Amino acid sequence: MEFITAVSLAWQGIVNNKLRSLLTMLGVIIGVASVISLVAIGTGTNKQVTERIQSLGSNLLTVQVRGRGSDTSLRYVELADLKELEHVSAVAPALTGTATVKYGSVTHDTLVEATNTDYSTARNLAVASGRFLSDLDVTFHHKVAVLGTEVVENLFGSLNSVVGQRILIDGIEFTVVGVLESKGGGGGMSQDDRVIIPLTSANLVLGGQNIRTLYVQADASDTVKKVEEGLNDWLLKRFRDEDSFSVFNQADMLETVNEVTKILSLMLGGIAGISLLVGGIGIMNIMLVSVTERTREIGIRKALGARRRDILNQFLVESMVLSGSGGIIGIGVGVGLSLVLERLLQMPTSVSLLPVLIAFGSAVMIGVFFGIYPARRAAELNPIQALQYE
Amino acid sequence: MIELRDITKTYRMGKIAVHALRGVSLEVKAGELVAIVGPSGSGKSTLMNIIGCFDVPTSGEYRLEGKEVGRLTDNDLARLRNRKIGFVFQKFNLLPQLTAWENVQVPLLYAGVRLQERRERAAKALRQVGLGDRLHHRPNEMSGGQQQRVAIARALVTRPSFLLADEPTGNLDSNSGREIMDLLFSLNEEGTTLIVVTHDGLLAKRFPRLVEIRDGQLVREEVQ
Repeated sequence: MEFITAVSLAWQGIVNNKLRSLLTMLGVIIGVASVISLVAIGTGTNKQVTERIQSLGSNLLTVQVRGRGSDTSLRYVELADLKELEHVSAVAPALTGTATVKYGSVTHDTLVEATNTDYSTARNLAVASGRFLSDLDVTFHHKVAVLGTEVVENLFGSLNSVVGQRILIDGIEFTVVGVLESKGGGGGMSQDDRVIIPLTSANLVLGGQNIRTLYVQADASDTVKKVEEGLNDWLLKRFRDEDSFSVFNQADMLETVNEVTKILSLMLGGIAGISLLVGGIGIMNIMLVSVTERTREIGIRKALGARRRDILNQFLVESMVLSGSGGIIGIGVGVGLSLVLERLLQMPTSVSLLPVLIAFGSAVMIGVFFGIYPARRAAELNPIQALQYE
Repeated sequence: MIELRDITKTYRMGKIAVHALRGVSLEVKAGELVAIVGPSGSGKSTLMNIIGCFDVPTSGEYRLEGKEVGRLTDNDLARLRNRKIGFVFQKFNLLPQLTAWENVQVPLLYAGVRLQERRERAAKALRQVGLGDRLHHRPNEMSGGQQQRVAIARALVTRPSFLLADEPTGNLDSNSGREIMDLLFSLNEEGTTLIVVTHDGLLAKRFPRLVEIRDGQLVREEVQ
């Protein structure tokens, strides 16, 4: 019997029994849909976190200083040595704290970062209008500030020309010299809610110039390791204790994140895979019922010359079409669900072809696998007895 | 065309052996019209199952068109049923979800005939039994007589060596029953070999040749 005839025959059977077929497929639909949407969430999260980390600056090393005894921080002048190390393209200190900024009668609590010019290259920051901090700002302790877009929105509302305005940071007057480009990222992880001021003006707002965080950028991705070693040597000489500082490599962090999200994806996919398996058992159950119900039909077909193989194929194709249709519906539901999660819940999702194909393929395979037993039962029926079945 | 020689069939029911047939010999020539009669439990159904290639005899010889079929496998038997024999059942045995046209195509499907030819031959067979205008009706939209005509068309469509009918009028009122028998007789006049199994003595009297079976043996043969 031709395959197409068999498929159309099976399709007819499914259409004749719409409700039952749909209920049977439900397990597979849910399985495929959850595999697709959960893997989409896993991949989406991975993508987002990777992008976030990379947007913090490329080829970046982060130094945290804990210090030893009373010597717990670095001074800005010391950083000049670091800049001389081989392959270092930027060295930016970072002092952070919270402060209240005020413009007119509007106030806003935000994050204040005190740093130098290199910060913009090291942390991958660009200005949308005005300028970033200059070397002169640092040298001459200028009271200037670069604002994130969220701060601008909160303080100035719809005001266009923000550059040149004067604001108060914890009561001290600063002049706005630039506005940063938006980096996005919602849900309490905004990178736009920040104010950047020269390190040398930090005394006034953050109560000191003691550097405990430092960003060092290598000039290329293959020199990061070298710079890391140089940095370690320098810090060891400076503090004489390797417990008093730590250096984080961005590449190591990315690798760790990727590993974690990969495990997360696999776990989610695995759990969804189990529901696919349960869907397969549902198909087997209904196919067994169907074989019993259609004993007479099988008898008639055998009487008219159907061989074992013909009956076996008929029922195998039927369970395959059943699970395949469930798989197709499941793809639709899964892709739709991913879009809904992205639009309505702002969850990062990313649907890619491979998981979709794997989910659909396993649905069809499950149909065949769980269809074998019922189909064999049908094929083994004795035509004489099957014809007498009421 | 059909030669049965000393056919026996023994079933095992637990420890008891049931001798359904005890040495039946029968010969049917091409173009013949034969009725096999007998009460229930006589071995009539067993004999029909063997002639119909549903089952193989325990001993004895069965030659169909000169070819021994007594020791064939299930698949070979299925092929014989498909190619050589046309079945007409008491309960019609149409597939309820298929139309008349599709029902008649089923045996051709298993014979490996292509779709276009299947359709043509099935339509032709339905016209032959007077149902050319009922192609798209499903069994539950037709009367018993019409359903049996569809079944006869299905039996004819593979151009079998002979038709084997099991109580073909058993589920019909006397009028449609007569019509069905007239149809079968007219098919025989056109050359189709016909074997009818029945317990209806009146019906059997219309047959030129009548074979009676009782307790697994042929007890009487009449040629009228």
